[in-house]
Amino acid sequence: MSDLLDNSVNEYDLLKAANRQLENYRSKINAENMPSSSINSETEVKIIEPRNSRRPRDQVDGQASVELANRNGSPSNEEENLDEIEEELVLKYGAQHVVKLFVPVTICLIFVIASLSAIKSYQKSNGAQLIYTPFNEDSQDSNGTKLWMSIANASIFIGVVVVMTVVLILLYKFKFYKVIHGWLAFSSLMLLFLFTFMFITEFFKQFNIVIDMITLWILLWNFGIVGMAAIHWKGPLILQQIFLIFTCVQMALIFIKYLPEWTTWVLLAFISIWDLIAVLCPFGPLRILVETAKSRNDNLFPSMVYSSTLIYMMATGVDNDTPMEQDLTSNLNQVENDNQNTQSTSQTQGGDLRNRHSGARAHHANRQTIQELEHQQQEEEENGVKLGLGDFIFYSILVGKASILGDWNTVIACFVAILIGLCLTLVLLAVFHKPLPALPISLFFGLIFYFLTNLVVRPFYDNLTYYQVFI
Amino acid sequence: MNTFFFFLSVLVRTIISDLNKERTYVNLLNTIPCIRRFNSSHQIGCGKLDYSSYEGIVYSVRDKAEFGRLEKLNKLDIPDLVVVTLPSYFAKIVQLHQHDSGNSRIQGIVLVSNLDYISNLTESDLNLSDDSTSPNSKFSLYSTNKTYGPSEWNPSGTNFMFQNFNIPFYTIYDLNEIEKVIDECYDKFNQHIFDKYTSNSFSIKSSESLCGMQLGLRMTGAVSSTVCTRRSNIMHTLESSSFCDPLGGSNYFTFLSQRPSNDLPITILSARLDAFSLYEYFTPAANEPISSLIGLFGITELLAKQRSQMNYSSILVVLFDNEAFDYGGSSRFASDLVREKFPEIKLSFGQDQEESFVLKKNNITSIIELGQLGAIGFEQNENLYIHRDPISYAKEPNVAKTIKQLTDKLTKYSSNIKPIENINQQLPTSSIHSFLRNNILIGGISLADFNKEFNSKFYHGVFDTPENMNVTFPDDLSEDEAVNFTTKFAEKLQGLTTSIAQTIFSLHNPTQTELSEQVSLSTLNRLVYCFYKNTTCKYFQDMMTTSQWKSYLTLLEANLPKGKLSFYTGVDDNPISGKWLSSMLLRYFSRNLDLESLSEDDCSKDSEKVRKYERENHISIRNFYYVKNSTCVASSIFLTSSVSPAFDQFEKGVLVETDKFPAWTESSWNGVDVQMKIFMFTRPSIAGLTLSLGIVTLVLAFVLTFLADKFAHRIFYPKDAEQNEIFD
Amino acid sequence: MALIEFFGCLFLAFGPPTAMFAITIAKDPIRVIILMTSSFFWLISLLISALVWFALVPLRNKLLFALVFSVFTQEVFRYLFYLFIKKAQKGLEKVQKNIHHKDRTDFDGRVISYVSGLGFGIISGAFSLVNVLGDMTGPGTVGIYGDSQYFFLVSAMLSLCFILLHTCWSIIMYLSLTIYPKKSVKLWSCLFLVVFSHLFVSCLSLANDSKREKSYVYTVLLSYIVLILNVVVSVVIVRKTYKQKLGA
Repeated sequence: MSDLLDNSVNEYDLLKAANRQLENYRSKINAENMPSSSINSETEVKIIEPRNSRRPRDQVDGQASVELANRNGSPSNEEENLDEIEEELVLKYGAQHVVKLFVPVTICLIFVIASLSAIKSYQKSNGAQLIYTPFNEDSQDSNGTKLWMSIANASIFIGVVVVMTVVLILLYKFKFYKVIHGWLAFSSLMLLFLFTFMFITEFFKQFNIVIDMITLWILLWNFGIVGMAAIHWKGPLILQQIFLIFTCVQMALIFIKYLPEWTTWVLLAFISIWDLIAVLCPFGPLRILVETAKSRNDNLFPSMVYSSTLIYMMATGVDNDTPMEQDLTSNLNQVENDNQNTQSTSQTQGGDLRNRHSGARAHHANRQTIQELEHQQQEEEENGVKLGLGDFIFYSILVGKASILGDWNTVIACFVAILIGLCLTLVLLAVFHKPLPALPISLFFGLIFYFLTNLVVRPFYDNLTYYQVFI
Repeated sequence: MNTFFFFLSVLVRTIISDLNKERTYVNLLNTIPCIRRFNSSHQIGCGKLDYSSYEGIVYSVRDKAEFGRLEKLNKLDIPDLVVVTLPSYFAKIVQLHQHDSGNSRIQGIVLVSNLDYISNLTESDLNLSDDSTSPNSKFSLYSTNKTYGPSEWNPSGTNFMFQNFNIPFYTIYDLNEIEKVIDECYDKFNQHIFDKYTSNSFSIKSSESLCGMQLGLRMTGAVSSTVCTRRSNIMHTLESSSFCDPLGGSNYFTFLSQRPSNDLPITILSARLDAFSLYEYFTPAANEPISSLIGLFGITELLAKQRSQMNYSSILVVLFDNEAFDYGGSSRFASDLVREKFPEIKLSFGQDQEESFVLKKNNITSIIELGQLGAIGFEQNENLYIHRDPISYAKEPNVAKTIKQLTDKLTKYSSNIKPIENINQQLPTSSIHSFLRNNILIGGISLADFNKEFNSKFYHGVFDTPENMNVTFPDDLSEDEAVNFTTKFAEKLQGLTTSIAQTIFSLHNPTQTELSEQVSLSTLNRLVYCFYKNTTCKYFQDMMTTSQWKSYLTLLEANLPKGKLSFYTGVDDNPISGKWLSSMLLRYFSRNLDLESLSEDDCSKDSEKVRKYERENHISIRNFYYVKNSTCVASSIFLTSSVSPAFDQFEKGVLVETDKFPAWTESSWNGVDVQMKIFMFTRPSIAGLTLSLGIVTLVLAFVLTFLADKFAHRIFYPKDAEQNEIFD
Repeated sequence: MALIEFFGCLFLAFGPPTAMFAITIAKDPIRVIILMTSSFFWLISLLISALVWFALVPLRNKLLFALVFSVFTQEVFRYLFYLFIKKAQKGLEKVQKNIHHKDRTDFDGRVISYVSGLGFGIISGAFSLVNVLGDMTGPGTVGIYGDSQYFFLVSAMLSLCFILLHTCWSIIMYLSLTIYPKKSVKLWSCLFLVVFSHLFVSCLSLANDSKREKSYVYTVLLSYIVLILNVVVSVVIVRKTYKQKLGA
């Protein structure tokens, strides 16, 4: 036991810890037959897995502690210590995951703010609007008109999101995995090519740089193909993360540009309510989806999730017959920095769910839930927490809108509010052990801070800095 | 709740803005830049395309000494300057900069253009015409003609409009802002530093603070109209955006006869509608085109009264737009006629079905154009001169016949209208060029106040003002008195325009009756007052409905300088105050007098009375509006596009026939970065101090924190605690 | 030219906090979270004081009232954060005794007070200075209306002073609440020191007058003297405290 702690705790390095564990057990896996080895592997993985320690002891956990105790030959009274160690590890690893999520969110926000400050044309739309927000808010309309128009726009938008989610659930329920896979691939295709093209051209227009079409297409082609490969297939984790963040930034910029002012706020409010309903209510589509996935031991969908850590594919003895499963076994022995997320494309296991449309409406219907991956018997597991890409997008929209105001205090306040919301959500996640929506708390804090800071704090602080009064 | 806060936030934002920025910068709002334009092969204008802001230390040139100093300073290696100058030195400074524009220290030139400010100074010369010495020569009849060649109509032209500068030019015209720049910025901070300049060296100490100016100018666009059009056509976002917009607006025309017809001989009476200057929208335009417009309206009013008698010919009154830039509007008009693509006009003669009418070139017999008329306001000028094209006069017999007829009649009716002395003299800038170039070989004359060269020194410049036309009003007149005040200009104009009207009346007239009435002097007086002195006069207001008046006021405030009429050519969907006003005046003066006294309810197309009138007289009236002094203005004005035919396929990204038609575009800039600010430059000593303090603090902080972290357990632990540690 | 000033002020005001963050806080995720949470608490206190300022319309020009109210609110929230962290520690109490020799810096009251003070300080300094920094990126500096050109430098120096002061105040307050028994003179004198020095330095900044450069000299000097005093007191109090949880 002590060597377990020494090696893994102090170094805070999941990978090394996992590697060490796996090396310790690999011999066992290879030596023993499949079922028992999978139990062993799940055991060892489970120990590192933070959440499980909080669950009431069921058989599996009992097995875990027993196994561990057996392995190390320590008496059972050390179970107590084990719990405490696990709690300590929970805290450490939980906190580490939180911080690991802070970093990409911060990077995404910085990227969005930088793009908005540099490329002025993203700050407002020149009259064009998305088809999901048909009502055009004219600045000369009365406030009442603007209000109902924005509510109508946001409702239509949410309606589209709901419809897409339901369609995705139906496709999932009836096992049209290929359709879903194709849908997701098409949506990332569109993001990586079309929206990147728009971004690049706006960038060049702003700085008056001239480029010929051939060079542009070559660049774009390379960029897009690498992105598709990194997200959907194999590639280094860091590359996948970068591309996912880039696609979130593109989406957020498009929304900031084309959504009218009031509609944006009403939409943010509505989408957090929808998130809450969809994940927590018994009839919520996402909850249904999670339960269906659980019952099928399915995995989450690729290219819709940002994962803070690696995902291990320990899968052996896989039940599902989907053809994509074949890839899994071939990756069995690769435990390093393979981007395990890409493996998950080839399977449909796991409990996490992010919906993403493909096609023209794809980007709008992101579902954001932070979930714990339900620990399954045979298949792979994921460590760490995942954050849906839609969460990134809506956070970026909020902070992007704040940066357009020109007041950096508002930006900082929204930033802190969002991070605290994220933190709080993760704490609740650790406490409740079930899928939780990531948007409501963060957006709630974020919206409150946006309006209050902009309205009240901004003049206050303007006065203070003008007179150089420090409080 | 969010929306409630939004209400409040908007309110609060208007109360408290960014206070620090207000402390740092003084925003000068009433400033006008020189913008970038393109023609089919070149670009003209100010500022570099990929730069958006130009900063420099303010330097003012108000007399010879300061200019001399600038000449010498420009050769030294000093920080960049922004020169604020009086008009008398403007041309010299531009030349100073252009002489060695790569090494020039001048980063921007600001022209002071407030006449009151300038007239109080000793150096009160005004800068001259911004146009070239031969305006529109590339698209005139003589551009490729070896015998005639371009002629120097505009000797005081500096050609600044058509050059390409790499620094921005701005003009300030508001007295308060001029004082802020010159008194509170230059005199207070910079003057004593520049005064220390000796003949060999100049340096600015690091402890001196200087006042500087930032000129923002962000222009989009590309090398020329051709390239720019092609690039604009590439669609890269959900919305289409173009880098350059074709210049042009609308030509307005109306038939003074009872109805539009191709059967009667058509005489065109035309005038120009637009002007330009180096600074966008800033076109006082007193001589060109307002003076000709006043004359045109006087004649129109008179002839409209004779409408019922003039059933032997069709008078087509046309206001050509987009003439200042190589005759874009008239080439459009002429090419449409030639290619039979003239837009269809729908007429309904009181019936439900409509007929359509298309103007054809066959029956157009002559063109009488009113050119610059302003110089007659001076004592010594009495005459108008008849200009015509010598080439067609010599070659085409019917042209010669028409011109002879017109000349004879005009000289008959007025002793002050004379033909030009040199019969081989070219046709000056005139819309007739487009007709003749497009093979519409009809006799056209252009009546203008000059003989061999323009009288006005300020053609197409910011100083083409009424004062320079000798049109002034005594100070102590009330509005009612001023409206009826007869200027010399109006007085002489009355006689001349009456003669012109008589000429037109007698053209094709089978009977020998002459026009007995005269052009109304009170109309001319009112027009002179309202155009030159008070653009929001009651006379104009009485010609418009309340909503039209509101639109007019909005248009006056829409562009800088606010409150002044602008006749700039502009881009397509942008109504400009002066041109819009002219179309309203044309409507008013060409109104059908028989229907003038209809009541408000009857003053509409659907009214029974009107339809009956239309049926009985077989005429068609398009626009109706009812005006305050119980006048129903029923008129038929038509408009056609005045965008050059080269842009017929603009949406496809190509220009057509650019050798035949002009292809002027303007950069589609937006007003965000276009502004002028003054501020203090950071003292180098303070900047250096801050940076060094900052770097020292940063390095020190890292070092200290690192050390503190390493030895934390020694520094922060109580002595006895260490022992406890070991035992634990 | 103005960019030089921008970087100078940026390094001056945010250099030490960045150094402290990078070297002492970034390595432990729990500290990062504590930092964020304390920033959040400061934000809430700011919101409340700004609301009060906003609501009392006639007093808007008299910053003294808003200032005093804000100082007291911040100190109240500092105390509230102390209570919050105390409760959070209880959850971690169990674990400490097994492994405390491995991680000396975790769940250590001294570290927590330092981190939370730095959190308060960073967010307070950020709010005071970012908009001013944004104004520095333009080509010009203050002065055309007669203000002193040292405006930016003084703002940056005072921001740095406040960031460090917040750190010290949290250390003094939390640790004195931990080691001194309730209602003892020492406890009350420490708390009084914190509140009084905060009030003093804030009111001192009221004397900043951009049109008279002399006022800057006095303000900056006095503020830094108070900073040194607070640093000394906080070091003394840290040395008196053993590694222990907050609020024993």
